[in-house]
Amino acid sequence: MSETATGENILPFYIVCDESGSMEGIGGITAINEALPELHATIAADPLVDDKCRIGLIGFSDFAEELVPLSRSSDIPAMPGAQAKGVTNYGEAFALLRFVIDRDIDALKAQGYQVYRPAVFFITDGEPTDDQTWEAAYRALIDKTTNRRAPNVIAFGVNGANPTTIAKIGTVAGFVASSGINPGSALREILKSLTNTIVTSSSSSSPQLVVPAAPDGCVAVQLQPVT
Amino acid sequence: MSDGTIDASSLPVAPLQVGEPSSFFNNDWWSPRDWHKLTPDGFGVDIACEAGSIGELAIAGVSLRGHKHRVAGQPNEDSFAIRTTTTHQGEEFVVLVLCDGLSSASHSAYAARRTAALVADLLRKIVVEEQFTYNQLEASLGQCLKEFVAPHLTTWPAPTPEDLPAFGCPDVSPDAIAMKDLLVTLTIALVPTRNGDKGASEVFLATIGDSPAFILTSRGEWIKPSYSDTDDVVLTTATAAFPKTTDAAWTRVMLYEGDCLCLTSDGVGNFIKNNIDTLRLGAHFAKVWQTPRDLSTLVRDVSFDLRSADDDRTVILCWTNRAPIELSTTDELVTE
Repeated sequence: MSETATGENILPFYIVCDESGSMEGIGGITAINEALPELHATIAADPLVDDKCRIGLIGFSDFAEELVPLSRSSDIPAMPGAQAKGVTNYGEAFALLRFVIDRDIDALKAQGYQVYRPAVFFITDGEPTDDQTWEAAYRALIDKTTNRRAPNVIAFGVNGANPTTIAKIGTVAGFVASSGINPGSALREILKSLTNTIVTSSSSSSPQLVVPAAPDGCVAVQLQPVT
Repeated sequence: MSDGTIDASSLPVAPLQVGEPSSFFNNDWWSPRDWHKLTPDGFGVDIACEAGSIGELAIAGVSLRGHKHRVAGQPNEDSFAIRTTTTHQGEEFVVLVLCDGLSSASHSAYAARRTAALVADLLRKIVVEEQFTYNQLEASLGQCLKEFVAPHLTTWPAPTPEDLPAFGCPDVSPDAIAMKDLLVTLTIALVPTRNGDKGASEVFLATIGDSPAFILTSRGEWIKPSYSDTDDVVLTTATAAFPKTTDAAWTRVMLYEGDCLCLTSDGVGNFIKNNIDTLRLGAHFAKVWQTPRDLSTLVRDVSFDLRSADDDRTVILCWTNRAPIELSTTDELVTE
């Protein structure tokens, strides 16, 4: 860090949403599009949190797309909506995450900020359609021996999500909606939990990721490493 | 003014701006947003300041309530104490103590206030003892903290329904409060008020926890002293807190003419220097804190606006350079 560095702390959060076609059928896209503006407004209205955290939004289906680049919440005019598209390509999401995290941390450090390890909230409703190849992109993202900026990942699964797959993706926690729970309702609770995590993690003078308890209607899964 | 009016033409004081303005910068404390609340039990301590000269030294302490506590309506959890004392042999010292309550400790504001005062008063007593030396202090400090300060910290009159709370103490019986709710960092400095033969004085420093002390040299460098490890240290002192830990890490440093000793809580210290580099605020303070400042300017310095700097902020500055400030020729006394 140069002498011009301020020492200002930044805690980056990336929300990664499944935009596959199946999400529309379960009311998932509607639930997410209703919850994201609430998350945005809550964080932007909290001066302590707004100053310290940065929010980015990535949607993925056949390909992954950066819907909101990492930004201060109050600088985001409005949260864009998610849109149901194609299949469920996890590898694309993880590859894009690796790229944007590197880019964003480089940019923040060049401005003199002290950047804490990013947190990723990965939300999906089903199994990956690139089941033979996604794990390589995932490993490249989370392996701290090869990626110094590997994020902490909290994974959430609803509807057809496989608990075993969710357990592989989460690096600090994984949750799946309980059977019989309406997926749209589960997603709304997940977004609330996400908001609380961001607020709680950013409110401390020394920012640190506060792992949430299971959202209402979800249960925690025991994490498993990708082999 | 000579015509009987008051000149109020000077601009309001704005804080130092470090980087982009924070959310708080343009928010008046009285704004309906309620980002600056009173505390129910008092002791908010938005601004505490104490200053004076002694011997060859000029001393000033400033403590400000941080944004996070203003938003929450909670008190300042930092505190400091300054005392003067004289040894049996007539050598004069100033005692500086700084405490920062842990945010996880529910009564740390009280603990910080009480610990700072108790430790400062304890050191006054130790210094006047006939056999006082730094060696003796190093050998006995931990025991004194454990046997004298800790019990006093955890003792106060148990309130009854008819009583009002004892001054600033928790409104519950001591039995109802666990030690974890009274944890504070503790930084101590004992400074001779006059230099020795070679234009320098030997300062005793002791610390429990992560409130950093610095020497600001006359060359504008921030130096963090290295401390000894105590025999019983398992964790680093950075994770320790009083009264759970009573064995302080200590050291002695030379304070040369022109140097400034600076005790800080991490709400300031973390923005002066990280482990390697001097940060932007530290570079500024390195220039302007070479000599004493008038108190309103010093409070403004510590009120710096910097995003994410929302913790309580406390500094104690001990200057050896008391260069006189030349008065402007336009200064004049207000007369009838």
